[in-house]
Amino acid sequence: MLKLPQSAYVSLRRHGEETYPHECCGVLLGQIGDNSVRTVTSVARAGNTRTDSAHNRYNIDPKDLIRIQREGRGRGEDIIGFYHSHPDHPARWSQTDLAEAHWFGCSYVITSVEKGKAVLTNSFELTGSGENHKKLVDEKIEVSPPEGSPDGNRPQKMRAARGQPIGRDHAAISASPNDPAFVARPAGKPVYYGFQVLDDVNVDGFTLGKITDFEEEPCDSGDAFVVAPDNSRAGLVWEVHEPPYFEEVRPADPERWGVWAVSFPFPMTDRENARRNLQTVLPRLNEKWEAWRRGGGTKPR
Amino acid sequence: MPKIHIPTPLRQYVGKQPAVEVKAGTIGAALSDLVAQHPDLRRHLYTDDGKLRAFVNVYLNDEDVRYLQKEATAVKDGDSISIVPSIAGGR
Repeated sequence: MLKLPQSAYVSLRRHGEETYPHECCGVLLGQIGDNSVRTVTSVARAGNTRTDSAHNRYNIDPKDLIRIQREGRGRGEDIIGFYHSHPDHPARWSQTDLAEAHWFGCSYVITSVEKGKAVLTNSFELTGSGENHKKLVDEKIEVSPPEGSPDGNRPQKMRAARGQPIGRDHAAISASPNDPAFVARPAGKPVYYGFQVLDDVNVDGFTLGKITDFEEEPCDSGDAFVVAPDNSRAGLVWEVHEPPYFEEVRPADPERWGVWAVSFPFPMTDRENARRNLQTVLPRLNEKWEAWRRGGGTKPR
Repeated sequence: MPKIHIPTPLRQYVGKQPAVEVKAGTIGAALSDLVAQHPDLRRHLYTDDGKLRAFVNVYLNDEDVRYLQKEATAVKDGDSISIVPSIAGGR
């Protein structure tokens, strides 16, 4: 498993967007635990020496690497992996990636960048006994929130359990002076009150609300909700993912017409893509809403 | 004595040390002393016919030894030798 602080995750994805249509590359520094969990504490960008074919090849200048290694050593960090981007190509390792991978026990992170936007980020561990017996194995990436405030002057943003910033509706009135409105929901307010409803992300009378603030920090997955034309609501656990899926997380109850795990085809980079994603999943959502209504679902007060 | 910095994936073959001190006057002798001290390392650095693997870069301080005198490059006390497997790929 690879543990990445949010800042490192954002930084390596941005790097891929900045160098598009060329591949970016860089180094992950941190510690390898006894259980082979790699914990990143910083990332270092490196130049791509493959100027002859930078759109589909990368090579980190060893001189950069020596410098990065030395600087890391000064901070008590080791090299524990690398990252690069695949411009307009999936976030999967290629035969070239495997043939050129020599750092056993390290992570190779690949981000697909489509038309200049980072889409998926996957990680693979190089395993095996040597050059003749090696493979790149899928590994989980865990993105953790930074410790303390990311900058000293601003209070730390509220973050959802998964470590992403929250899309708060600052106009919502809380029932408690100490808690935000979505924690202390006043009587009579619908579920998800206190989170921001994106009025302009609307398809056929259904409106998207954001719990994970995808506009604040780029992300591949998050939480959201949908407001139906009658103001009833359902939860969404979304992920930018192919192939598509639509699964129940929590059945409908009088208060909401379920919570649904859904895949989105478009990166959640802006509201227009959010609208296109809502449009994609709306037929299935509409079915669920209709079924809930037919079953006598209680409308919110 | 010159010191050889060992990259993360090869530390398991040198008792998990980040660096190994060697007795040597040249890069070639330094690497020979290293694999003599830690024989399990040999097959990861050298091919079956005894050549340094193509993807293994060896640096003396900040210089690639290929652009110095390769294995004949002189080393002295306090020098820092780095073994750096290449990092490359692409779609």
